[in-house]
Amino acid sequence: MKSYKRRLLGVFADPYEAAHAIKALQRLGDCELEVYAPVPDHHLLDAAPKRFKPVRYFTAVGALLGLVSGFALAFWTAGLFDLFLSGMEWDATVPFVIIGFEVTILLGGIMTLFGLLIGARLPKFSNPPIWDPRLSEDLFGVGVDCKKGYVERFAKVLREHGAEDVHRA
Amino acid sequence: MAKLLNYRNVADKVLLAQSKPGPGYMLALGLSVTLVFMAIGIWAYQVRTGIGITVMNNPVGWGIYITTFVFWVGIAHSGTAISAILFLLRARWRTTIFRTSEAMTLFAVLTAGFFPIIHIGRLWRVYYLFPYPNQRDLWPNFKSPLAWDMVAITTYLTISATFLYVGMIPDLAIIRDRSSGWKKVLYGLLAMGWRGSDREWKNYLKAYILFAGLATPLVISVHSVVSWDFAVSVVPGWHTTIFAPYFVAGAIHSGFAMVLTLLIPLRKIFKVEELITKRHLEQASKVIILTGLIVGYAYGTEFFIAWYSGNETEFDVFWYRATGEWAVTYWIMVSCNVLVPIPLLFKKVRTNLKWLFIISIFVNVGMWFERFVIIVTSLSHEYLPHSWGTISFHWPDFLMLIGSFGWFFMWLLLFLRIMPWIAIAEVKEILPPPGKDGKGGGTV
Repeated sequence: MKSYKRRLLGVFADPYEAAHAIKALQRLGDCELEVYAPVPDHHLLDAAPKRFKPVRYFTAVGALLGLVSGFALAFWTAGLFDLFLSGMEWDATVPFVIIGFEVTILLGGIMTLFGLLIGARLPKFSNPPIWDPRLSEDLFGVGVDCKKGYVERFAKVLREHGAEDVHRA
Repeated sequence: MAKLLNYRNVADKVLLAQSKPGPGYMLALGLSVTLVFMAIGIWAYQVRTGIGITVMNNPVGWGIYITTFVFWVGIAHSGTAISAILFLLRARWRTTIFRTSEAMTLFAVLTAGFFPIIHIGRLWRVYYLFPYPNQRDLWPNFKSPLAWDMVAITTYLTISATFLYVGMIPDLAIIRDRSSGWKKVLYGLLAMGWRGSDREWKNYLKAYILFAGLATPLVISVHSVVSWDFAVSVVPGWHTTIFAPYFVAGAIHSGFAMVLTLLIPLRKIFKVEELITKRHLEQASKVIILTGLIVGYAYGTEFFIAWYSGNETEFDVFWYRATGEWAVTYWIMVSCNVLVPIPLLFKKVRTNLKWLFIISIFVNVGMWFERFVIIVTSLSHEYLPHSWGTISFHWPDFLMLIGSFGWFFMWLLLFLRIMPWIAIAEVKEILPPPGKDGKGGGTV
């Protein structure tokens, strides 16, 4: 397991420069990056490391669970009182579609929220090791996790690619 | 020339609403809270005295409460239409208005949800509707439209609240970073430690589009389910297949009108004319033109089919609506919903905020009357002439209607004060980035 630690945070005003810096750092290797942005800038997110996004799987599982449980609830509760009312059979599929559909959406939505929290690793109860509050306003950040000996090398790359500030741990 | 918007001044403008409230705000909030207490008092009086104090009686067993319930569920629909459906359609004009609309949705659903409980009188029996194992071995009847309503509206409330909250997370982080003391802790908790990392954004964007995809069918389904409270009965004037699209179109009609009613004064009060421009309001008014035409078409179709079908009772009910003792309410409905929005076809009217505001108020009045006409006129004029009857004025019902506006506006005013009422991060996303000289800027 690589013993990288957060040692640098480059702060950029221009997301394109930040994206170029990310690519340069990735070419050098020997580091792990985390990108910060006040907006989901697509150039930056495309340059950022690939991340596993489990959200859609949670949504699919939730929706499927909802579909099954919605219909099951409606059919099972109707089956407990299996009387013919108004000439209709007790297992009336058509009205139960409404329950099945709504519970599908309900559980799909709730599981999507869980997927987001798990994928984004929220909630977080501590600040990143190095942080600049301007990153939530109008600046973009590139956090570099590396070994101690590589700090100067990566700091130089960040500055060369237009970092306004390079914070060190 | 309007000042260009940039990342920093967008947040400054939106968060101006969180500064110390002026006397106007406190007066509005005080009035809303007073109306809420009035409504609570009337409800307590009704619980003590009985449902007989309301307009409801034989044959009109559903009256103002159900009218108001359907009205508020309808208002709720435009928020999700704007935030979910327009998101999927990549409509850029939604960006500055969707947050307030979503909040409006949530508070409208919260308001609507009270009315079935108030309507049933014996509110302590409402738990019968919840499906849980109990020693009575009783479960809700899922063939009943009332059970469908309970499931649909609970789902809508949950998904709307979740969608609203998830969308606010990045903005809550902005407020956290601008705050200090207990506010920093509070907003920090609400933002859940959001830092805007690439991992967070990627999962957020995926979740947001999935939420939009889940919420979109809800806009269609929830008000369709509410319309089926009426349509699955055999009451003349109710038992018609047009009800689902008719109600959904009407819901979006009233919802967009309420969005205009709220945003036109708010943009002026909080000085966000550069964020919520005339163009945004004009786009919303175009939707009102469309939904007004659909609603008008539905009115005409209902009448035509009532005649064409040869069903004498059906036609008699529609004739009664247009010419009977409630004819005034029918013609208020038609004129406010169909005729009044027609001037919106002209750009001069669409871009005149005074006229937009007036038209939006009329549409909301018209949509309340539409539900009143549907419910009261049909129930008072069913199959057997000897059972025909009508309602008379009873003050508790109408005061509850007014109280519901107090409840709605109370939550909305608190929301404006505490939460980011315009989506800061999404507005920033459509602006050019600041750049090295920090002078980047644009318009929405």
